[in-house]
Amino acid sequence: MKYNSPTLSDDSSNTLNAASPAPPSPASQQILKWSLWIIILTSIGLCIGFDINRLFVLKKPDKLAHPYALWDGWIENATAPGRGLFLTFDQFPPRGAGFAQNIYYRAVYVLYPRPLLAAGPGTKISDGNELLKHNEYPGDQWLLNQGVDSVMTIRMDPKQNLPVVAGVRWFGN
Amino acid sequence: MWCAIYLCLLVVSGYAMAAGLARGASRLEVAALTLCTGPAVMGFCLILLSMLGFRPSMPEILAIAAVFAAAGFAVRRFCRTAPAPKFVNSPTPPWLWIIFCSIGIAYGLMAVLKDALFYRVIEWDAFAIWQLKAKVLAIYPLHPRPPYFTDLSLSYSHLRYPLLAPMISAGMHAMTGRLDDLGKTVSLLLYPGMGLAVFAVVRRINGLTAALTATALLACLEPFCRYGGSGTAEMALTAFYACSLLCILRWRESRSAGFLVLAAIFSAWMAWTKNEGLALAAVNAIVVAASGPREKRRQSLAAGITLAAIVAFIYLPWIVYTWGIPRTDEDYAGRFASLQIFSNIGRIGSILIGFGKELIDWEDWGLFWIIVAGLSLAERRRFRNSQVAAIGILLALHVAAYVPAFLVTNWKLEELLSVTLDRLLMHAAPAGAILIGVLWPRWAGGMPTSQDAEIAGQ
Repeated sequence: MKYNSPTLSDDSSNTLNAASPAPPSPASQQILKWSLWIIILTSIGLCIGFDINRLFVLKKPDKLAHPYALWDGWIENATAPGRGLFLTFDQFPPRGAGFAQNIYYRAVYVLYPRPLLAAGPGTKISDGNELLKHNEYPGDQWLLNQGVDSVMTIRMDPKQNLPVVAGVRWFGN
Repeated sequence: MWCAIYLCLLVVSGYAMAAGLARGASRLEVAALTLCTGPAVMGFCLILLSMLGFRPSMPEILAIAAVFAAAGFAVRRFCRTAPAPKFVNSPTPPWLWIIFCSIGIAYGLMAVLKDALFYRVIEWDAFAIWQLKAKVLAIYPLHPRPPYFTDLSLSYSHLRYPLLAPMISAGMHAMTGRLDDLGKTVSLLLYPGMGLAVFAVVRRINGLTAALTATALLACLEPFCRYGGSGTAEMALTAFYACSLLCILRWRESRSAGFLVLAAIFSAWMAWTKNEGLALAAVNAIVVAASGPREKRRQSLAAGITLAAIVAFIYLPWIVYTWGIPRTDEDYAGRFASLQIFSNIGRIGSILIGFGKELIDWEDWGLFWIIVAGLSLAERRRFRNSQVAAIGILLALHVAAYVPAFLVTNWKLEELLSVTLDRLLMHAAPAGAILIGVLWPRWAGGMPTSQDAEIAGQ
């Protein structure tokens, strides 16, 4: 089966042919063609350039992966096998809500299906502000019943302006 | 190894539906559709089984793949597809152009591959929402409803978000037997599937040079490099959308029912992937219903209604399942119902400025959207062709469909615009690339029209 101009010639409503403007002169065509090609190459070059910058110069994924790897390890080390963890954000300023949110979300992902708690029962957590607002210790016995037997306390380090683990308390058997 | 086997099983699972329904499709089109259909078919079957109480497991996945492999074999044996058309007057692009475009495509593939295989799940959306859901689905069947869906302390992960993308990743967990970061490797099928779909559409309409150019421009866009292999649902939604466009355009060309059904199925899977997919599916149905030639208006209307009915039928289980799951603050449906859209109409200026700024953000898009706009302007007469017009309308409506959500959102508008616009425009990028491809001028390597041939013959 051969098509001279696929799709368009078969389309009874095609008005493309009749609508085409007269083609530019050969010299103009060359100029237009090269201009368009330069624009396309610029676009591809910009995209690749910015992404090479992101991946290999700024190393953004590595810079993101490194703190997550650290926190993943700390969170794992703060939990007993098969048991969960409670996070306490101690004296966390409101500007640290983003950090608290990230640590909480990450810890939930890392530990799942083990419980990761940061508030009492039935508390809705949609963002870091809600997390800090409801971050109250619900008591050892309730946590034990939820499968949690350790508490990680996290503070903001004022010098580095970064969250740090202040300590881990174990209260299970 | 199990990761590679799972990816192969997904390809096997997709072939039957792609080749069986897309009758008369070229090998390229079948390949594109297969790569995107496979993950969706597997994910959807696993969701249905999970709703019956069976969580994803290796025997289940092998059984699903075996059934679809048998169907694929039958399709290949008994339903011979029409030979691919030969494009006799499609100009061959210069070899240097082929190399440049191949570099763009290869770079995109490398970036997605690197992210999918060599990094942990580090994208915020991926570990907070999509890959967390994948873990839930790998551990618990959907019936009885797992505690996750009513756990308000996890409401940040959007308890009511649809589950197709996480279930595809959950299948990977079931195959590997580990709750690790390999769930995001499914994008190694979806990303090339999307690229092939765009390439196939443009090659058919406007030749090889246009197809290569459009695919290269799309493949190396920054949002694809960043989110393509990151484990979010963006890649799945974009790939399904690209395939739905392919099917809609092929249906408009051939009026083959198979393409319409496939377009509907892809539209439904879009809705099963992200809530934005619902809006995109609605736009697909409207365009199918409204954009046919005058003498086929009634047929087009029936096709649009059919598409919408198939989408509704496939989406229905999710509507039933989510009944009773708590709505948290991101309740867009409720906000639309309460007509907040009118009280917040003053936001429209900020939203349009936000969209405008993003479209010309060259760190994200290079000159992609500027090229779309420039070619649309320069080659505007081509919009008189119904296929080109349909692509233009689809693109415009898809971008416009995202505006109402910003009108009713309870998040800070500027913050939301800054963190979501690149991903929202990523969904629409395949339509932009197809538009670039079909508008690619003849003097730059596009297909000559019959008028050009007449002029040459004089």
